[in-house]
Amino acid sequence: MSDQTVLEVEDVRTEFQTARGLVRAVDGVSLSLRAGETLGIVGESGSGKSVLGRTIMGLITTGHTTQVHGSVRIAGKDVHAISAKERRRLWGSEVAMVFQDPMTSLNPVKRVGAHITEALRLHLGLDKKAAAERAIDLLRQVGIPEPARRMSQFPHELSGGMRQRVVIAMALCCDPRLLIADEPTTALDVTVQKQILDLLTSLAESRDMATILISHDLGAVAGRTDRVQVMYAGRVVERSATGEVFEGPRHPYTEGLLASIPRLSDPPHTTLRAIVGSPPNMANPPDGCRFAPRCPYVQDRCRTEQPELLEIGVRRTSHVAACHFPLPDVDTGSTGDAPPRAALAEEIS
Amino acid sequence: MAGSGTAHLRPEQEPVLTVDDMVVEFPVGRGQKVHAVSGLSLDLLPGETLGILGESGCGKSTAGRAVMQLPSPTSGTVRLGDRELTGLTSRPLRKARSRMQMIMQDPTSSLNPRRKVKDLVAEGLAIWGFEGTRQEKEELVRETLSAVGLDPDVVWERRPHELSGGQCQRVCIARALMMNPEVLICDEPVSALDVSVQAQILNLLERTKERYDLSMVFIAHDVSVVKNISDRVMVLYLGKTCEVIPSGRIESDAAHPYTQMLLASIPGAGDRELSASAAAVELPSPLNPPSGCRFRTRCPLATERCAAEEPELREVRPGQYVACHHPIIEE
Repeated sequence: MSDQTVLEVEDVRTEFQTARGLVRAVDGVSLSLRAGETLGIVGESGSGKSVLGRTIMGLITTGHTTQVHGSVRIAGKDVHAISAKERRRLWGSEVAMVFQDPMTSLNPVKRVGAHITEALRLHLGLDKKAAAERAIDLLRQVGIPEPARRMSQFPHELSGGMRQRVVIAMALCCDPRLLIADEPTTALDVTVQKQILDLLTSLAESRDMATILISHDLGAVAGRTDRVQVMYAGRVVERSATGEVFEGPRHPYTEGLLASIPRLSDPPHTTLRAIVGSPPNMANPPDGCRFAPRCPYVQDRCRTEQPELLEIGVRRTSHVAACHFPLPDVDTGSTGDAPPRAALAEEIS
Repeated sequence: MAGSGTAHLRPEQEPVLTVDDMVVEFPVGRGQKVHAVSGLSLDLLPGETLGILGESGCGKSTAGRAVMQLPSPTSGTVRLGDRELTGLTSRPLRKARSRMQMIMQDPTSSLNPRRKVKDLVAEGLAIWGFEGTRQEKEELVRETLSAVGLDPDVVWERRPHELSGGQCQRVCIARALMMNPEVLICDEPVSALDVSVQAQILNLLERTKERYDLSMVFIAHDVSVVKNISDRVMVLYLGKTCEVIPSGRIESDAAHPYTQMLLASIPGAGDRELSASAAAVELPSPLNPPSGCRFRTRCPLATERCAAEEPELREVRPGQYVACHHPIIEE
């Protein structure tokens, strides 16, 4: 993994003017990503994870009813400060995206091959023959059997998993430095999901590509990302190394989310620890901490004062959470304000 | 018999619902048929939850709907208590079917957007003629709404678009409960919901089952969810039963290669004996399913026998039935 920063997002706010009022779908998110690094973004519907992905990609830009504040820099270029033409040049070659439903990402009247060669010829200036050869090679890389024959097939002739592989081949054809995968497996069958996730992981690794994996499925993110960012109601509530978040969540929302998933290792009829209530109305979010109305540990301060995203880690890896009263660390019992020296020393030795 | 056997049925324990050798086929023209469900047999004991598990296209939803006679199966019988539902004409069928209620996947599309919650929930009573005063009826609706965790005063006048997905699913459950059913058929009731809400609904279904003395058929694709709610799990593949297993043992004892494949494809699952590579082969067409064992085209253990001879369900361990010539059993 190199130290080269591929993506820098600073205080991004994406606002939509709707009939019900101003909706801040993404409210002050900052993050950075290095080459070869994989970040998982998890959250429920309405948490702003997909809007964040699209804002990073530059698919959502300031317009009549939309405002994007803050900056998104991909490979040094501010996606929201450049012209639409320059942005198009960025797409494919620097950043690419894979969406949830492969059928809507593919043109039903174009052959599989044409989808991939189009970008190769436009971005890389390859001639027809070279582009076709490269496309066949790409299809082989994403695990499509008989790639030469598939080139002349139409999307409807392929299964859902195969279509998603084609979409991935399209996204990767010009060697982007950053890949954003927004729920890439949600529309696919259970038995196919794991294959597609494994494929994305191995491709990112072999190409030293930075990847953002957006998903509502915590299981999909666990084990195949370096860091996880948990979002709730447009804000980041917790972010750290994947293992730390899953084994020792510090934000009550993360804890609740993990506890509410049925586990295969639990006996049948185990009562699940569900989070009470439902996510807030984004046109009129609660004051203070947005999770406060559903939080089992809520205090008076949470209802009035918005918690900032602060470093609470007790290990060398960064662990940030936005909570006035973060849960204690699983090993040290520390809440992070003053990490116990003994614990730190142990960690370093 | 084209079926997968009936060794797992327990007629001596007086099941509330018995399905025997049910076949559902849909003609698609040119003399071709989709074999959606082929010879499915199942039974449901009082107070039991049967989980039906499989990937899309395995016929699990079709099976659930055929039990409800929506539409009636092509052949085979469905018995609710001692009453046979197949072959009934529409009026007696509707009467008999009210003892069985269904909850669908998408709660918002199963509710009429123009009606208020109070009317949606009371609709069943209105259709079947409630013998009581208006006040008693309102009382009953309020009680049922409270039972599914909705505040009657808050939601009383609301329409579906004013409710969240989880709340809509609660309304659907309340609607089903109003008919005082014996059997509840849930077709992917939580897969359209968010993780935190999914847990609420699963807990609610569990509580409701106790309180209203229900038996439940729970259809889903998620192994962990099915294990959580079921007593017994039935795994379907291309319209056939692969395995019937007590849910507590599914993780440790699953013996059918397909069940193993489903377990292996859970994200984050450790490597199992059968890797998920078998999943790479695509689901064969239900128009022309493979001969013998239908799973053989994707099965890493398949032999010539699997192509020639269809495996029948047999008991491999107490309470566990597998339709496979080469079940994975470690002694």
